[in-house]
Amino acid sequence: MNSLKEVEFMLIPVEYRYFITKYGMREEDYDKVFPKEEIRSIKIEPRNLEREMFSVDFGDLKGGREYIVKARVKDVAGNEKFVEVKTPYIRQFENIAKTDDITVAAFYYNWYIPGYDIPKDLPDKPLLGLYYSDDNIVFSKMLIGLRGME
Amino acid sequence: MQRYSSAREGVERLSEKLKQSVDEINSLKEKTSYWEAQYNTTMEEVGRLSSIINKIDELERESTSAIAYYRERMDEAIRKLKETIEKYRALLGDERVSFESSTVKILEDLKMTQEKLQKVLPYFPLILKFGWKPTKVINDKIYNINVTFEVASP
Repeated sequence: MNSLKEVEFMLIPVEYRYFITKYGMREEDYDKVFPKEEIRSIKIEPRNLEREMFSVDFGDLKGGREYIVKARVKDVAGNEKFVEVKTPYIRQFENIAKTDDITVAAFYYNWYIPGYDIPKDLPDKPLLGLYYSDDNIVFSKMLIGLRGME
Repeated sequence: MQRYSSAREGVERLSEKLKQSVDEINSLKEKTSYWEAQYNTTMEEVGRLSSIINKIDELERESTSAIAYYRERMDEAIRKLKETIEKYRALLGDERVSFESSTVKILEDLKMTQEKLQKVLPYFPLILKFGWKPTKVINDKIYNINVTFEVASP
C-alpha cells in the first residue's frame, strides 16, 4: 500500500527577468522593482492516514509581484504529485489612499503596445525599461502604484 | 467321632470362604471387563480426536501455504485454497473449515479491491481541496497567507 512519505508546501516568488531581456531594464534596477525574496519551503511529517488535512502559514510577504503557491506530496512507492496556483499580483506597499480624505485625480495613458516601435534614443528611460503597456505586471505596478507608493 | 465332626466343620467353613472368594473374583472380573471396555472406548476416542487434530494441522499448513502463495499469484492461490477447503470439508465438516472459508472470501474481496486500486493508483496520492487565503491584510496589502490541502493516499 502507498502510505504518504513526504509533504511539502512551497511559496515561490515569481521572477520577471524578461523585463531585462525584453524591455532592457537595467540589471541593477531589477531588485528595486521586484524586491528580492527567497523561495520558501515547509516540509510536514505525514501521519499516514488515508486522508489527511495539511495547513501552513507563510508570513511577511514582501509583495510587488505574484507568487506561486505549490503543494508536493510523495508516497513510499515513489509516486509524486503536485499542484500549484499563481496568486494575483500582491502589492508591495499599503494603499495609503485609504488613510485620508484627500482625493487625487490623474490621467493614465497607455504607452506603447506591441506593433509600435518604442524610440530607442529616449533621453530618460523608465525604471521598468522600454515596456509594453499591455503587460499585466506593468499594469499592476502602475495602477496599484497610483494608489500607494509603488 | 468328635474329632471327625470338628474337622468336617472346619472343611465346611473353608468351603464357605472359598465360595465367597470365588464370588469376589467373579465380581472383580466383571469390573475388570467393564473398565477394559471403557479403556478401549476412550482409546478409540483419543485416536479419533488425534486424527482430527492431525487433519486440522494439515489444513492449517496447507491453507497457510496457499495464503503465502497468494502473495505471488492471487488467482491460483484462491483456487488452491478453495480446493483445500473442499477436501477437508468432507472430512471435518463445515464448522471446522469456516475460518478458511472466511479467508477465501477476504482474499476474493481483496483481489477485487486490488484490481480497482490498480486502475486508480496512478491518480494517487491525490491532492484535494488545495487553496490559499490571506490571513493578514492591512490597507489592501497582503502580509500573511494560509495554505491548505487534503491528501488521499491508499
